Amino acid sequence: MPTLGQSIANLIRNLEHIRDARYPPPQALVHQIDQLYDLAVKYAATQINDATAQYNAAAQAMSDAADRSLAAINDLARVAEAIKLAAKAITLAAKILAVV
Amino acid sequence: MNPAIRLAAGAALLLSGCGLSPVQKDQVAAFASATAQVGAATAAQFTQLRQDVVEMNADELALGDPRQLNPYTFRFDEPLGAEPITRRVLAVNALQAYGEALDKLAGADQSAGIRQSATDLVSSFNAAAAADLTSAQQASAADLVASLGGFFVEYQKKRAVAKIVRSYACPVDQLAQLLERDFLNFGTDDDARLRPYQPSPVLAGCPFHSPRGDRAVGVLYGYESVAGRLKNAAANVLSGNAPFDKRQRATAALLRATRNLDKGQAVGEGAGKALRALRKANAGLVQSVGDDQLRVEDIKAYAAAAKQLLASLKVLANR
Repeated sequence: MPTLGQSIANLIRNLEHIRDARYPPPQALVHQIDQLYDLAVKYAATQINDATAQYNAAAQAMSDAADRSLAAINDLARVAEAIKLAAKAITLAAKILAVV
Repeated sequence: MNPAIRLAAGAALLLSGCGLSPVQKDQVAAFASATAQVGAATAAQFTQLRQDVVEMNADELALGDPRQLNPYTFRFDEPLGAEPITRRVLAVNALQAYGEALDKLAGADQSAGIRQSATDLVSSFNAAAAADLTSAQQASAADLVASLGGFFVEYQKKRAVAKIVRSYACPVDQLAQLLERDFLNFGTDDDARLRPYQPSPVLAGCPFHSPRGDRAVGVLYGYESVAGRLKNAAANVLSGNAPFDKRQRATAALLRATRNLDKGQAVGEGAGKALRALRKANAGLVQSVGDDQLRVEDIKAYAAAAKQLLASLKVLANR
């Protein structure tokens, strides 16, 4: 499984791809990209214990969200599903990184 | 001829014969000047990247959601604050001083210039060490200036080159790796960013402790995250029904963010290549002073990478 940081970066890249392909972009997507950049910077600066169940759950959710968003790039009908998974992953990662 | 003069001339010939050969001198000079230039260019780049971050954050404050961004607590230089950038500038100053000291020793310079550059070298590394390296390395270099004699014949210069290269091999390798991490682009190779310091193979015994710790926001990582956020905010404004002046500002911000993302990509590629080549050439230099054979190819590759980096930084500065 990729690191949480790598999955955050992958998810950002995929969501940006979707944002740039849809005009106007869904507001939820724009907001999520903003939140993910916050998480990315926080993650880079924070010492995290990656051996906890909480970390693994967040990293797995983020990795799933990144995979689903990649599928949504080629099938825009799946964007809503990708946004839903991203929201769940953001919530879990924010808890670990204590981002409000 | 007076026997004393004959003896002195013979001794001078013997000593100069044991100095660096013209090819070795050229190679040390090539390594040294490339290091000094990479150091100077990188220091300037850090300052410029921080300035770009301040401007991008200002744009984001203007475009962002006023409910989310409080102008009174907003940090314009986040995440490239003054302290982390100062730390890195000290590190590249040390690399620059290393290059300059070797350059003086490989060149025709005599005692005054050499002593001055050796003093600069020790003080630059001490300053960088306080920020980035273990204090053990300061001690190994402390007697360097004192040990350099007043008059440099070629033989002494060669010994001084060997001493400097040996004393600074580990700190140079470590600083170069820390800087290499700073130039990793956002989203590329998270493992490499988090991996503990690994010395170059010939420097396997290098001790390492960084007060930075294992986690830190790399300079390009931070830079590109700010640019990415700004692009997102600008795209959001432009896709809505914002008034003309806000759309105008968003257009300028989108252009700035896009350019800076391109810039980050180019700087990351160029600097990463130059710093990897620096570490390889530095390790080669350490081996060279050990077995008296300079590895020309490593130094040539490093000088070429440094030249390429400087050229790309020059192009980016004019954009």
